Amino acid sequence: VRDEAGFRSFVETNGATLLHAARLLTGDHHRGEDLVQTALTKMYVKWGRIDAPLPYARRALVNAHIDQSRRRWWGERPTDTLPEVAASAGGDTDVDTSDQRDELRRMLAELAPKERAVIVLRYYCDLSEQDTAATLGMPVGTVKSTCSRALARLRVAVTTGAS
Amino acid sequence: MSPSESDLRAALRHGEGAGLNADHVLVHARAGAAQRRVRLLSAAAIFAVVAGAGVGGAFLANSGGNASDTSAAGAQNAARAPVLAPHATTGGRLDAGTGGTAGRYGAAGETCPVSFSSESAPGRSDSALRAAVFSKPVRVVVLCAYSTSTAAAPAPAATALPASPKQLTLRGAQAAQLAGSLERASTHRRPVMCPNIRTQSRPLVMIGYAANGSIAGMVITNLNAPACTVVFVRNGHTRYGWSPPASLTAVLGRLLVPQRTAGQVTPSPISS
Repeated sequence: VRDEAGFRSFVETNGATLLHAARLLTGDHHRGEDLVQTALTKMYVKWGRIDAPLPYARRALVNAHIDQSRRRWWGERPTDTLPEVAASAGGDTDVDTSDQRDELRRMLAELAPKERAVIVLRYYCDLSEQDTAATLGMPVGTVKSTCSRALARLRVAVTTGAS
Repeated sequence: MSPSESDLRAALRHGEGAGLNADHVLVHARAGAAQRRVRLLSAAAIFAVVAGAGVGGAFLANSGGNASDTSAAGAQNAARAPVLAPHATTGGRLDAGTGGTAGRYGAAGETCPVSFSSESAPGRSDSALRAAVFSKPVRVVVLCAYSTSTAAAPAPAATALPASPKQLTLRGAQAAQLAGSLERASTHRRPVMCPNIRTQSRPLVMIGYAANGSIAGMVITNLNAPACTVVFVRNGHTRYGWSPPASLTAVLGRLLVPQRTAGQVTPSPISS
């Protein structure tokens, strides 16, 4: 009954973006995979009734992430030690750039789940404030204030970490 | 360092890898959908079982009530005769009546008290004399004929009465007739020659029930000397010279037939 071909096509087209967004939301590679699988399973069940699959997938992803972060036994444990990343073959500039990215990703993992969702949707998925608000089910003003607060925390953290 | 938006975007996009394995995702999605189906079916099955048990329980409970309804309907037919049949569950209990709210006063409803005391008989205030015998319109009257051995009143020398009270239930029009006759009974004593009630006492308790099942009033009198009947009303009233309605004489007589002994008087229409 389900349009499995359509679902497969959607996964092949948007899977990479959704998986990376899930990794950013969870801060962990494996939990990101679990998260995107959970969201896609929910989509699969309702596939025939979904008009706009990508926004639906983003919303399912964020909701599943926030639901999981609310469970105590699934509580997030931010860590200071990041997994080792293969060093690039460039010079010092590349190393500095890589360090900054790692630092930003580490700081992102320390944000609250909703703040992280706003940052990921706004700056990774490139959604507007209105679309972000629609995806998260919150007012635009709340998105603005949450985003501003999250960016401020990132700046402070990175600045303090750099000094 | 204060990261710009472009730095943030670059950092977020860094490490964007390959896409998902669609086959792997589909396999997991199918399994998840199947699990969801099983959960829904299990919940529906549990709901159906619980609902079935509830409906069955309600049916069984109602079937008990219908049994009393059936007996009441049978009693209605019997009352047209009028023929009275002993109640199925209580050896000395009789049931009769026309109309009324059968079922509300079913088998689980009114029963005669095991014994009664006449010590709460009558106050004599003027207000008590003028007041109604029953506080509410009566839909059901339960008559309980006691042997003197179970009553608190002094026992006669020898009676052949059973230890448990005989019970008769009047409903609807019959109950209203009986209640009306009690209400119309005189509130003043009349000079009548009477036998010694204490030696021939056969107490009769009449309990009137209102439409909502509450007791509207309780009346105590004596069956053996109806012409001299003093009707003591539990709520402090007294009526004199009560006689049962002529239409109920035969019905009330049935209450006495199994208990008749030599020398006792069968109630008959009273001429005072």
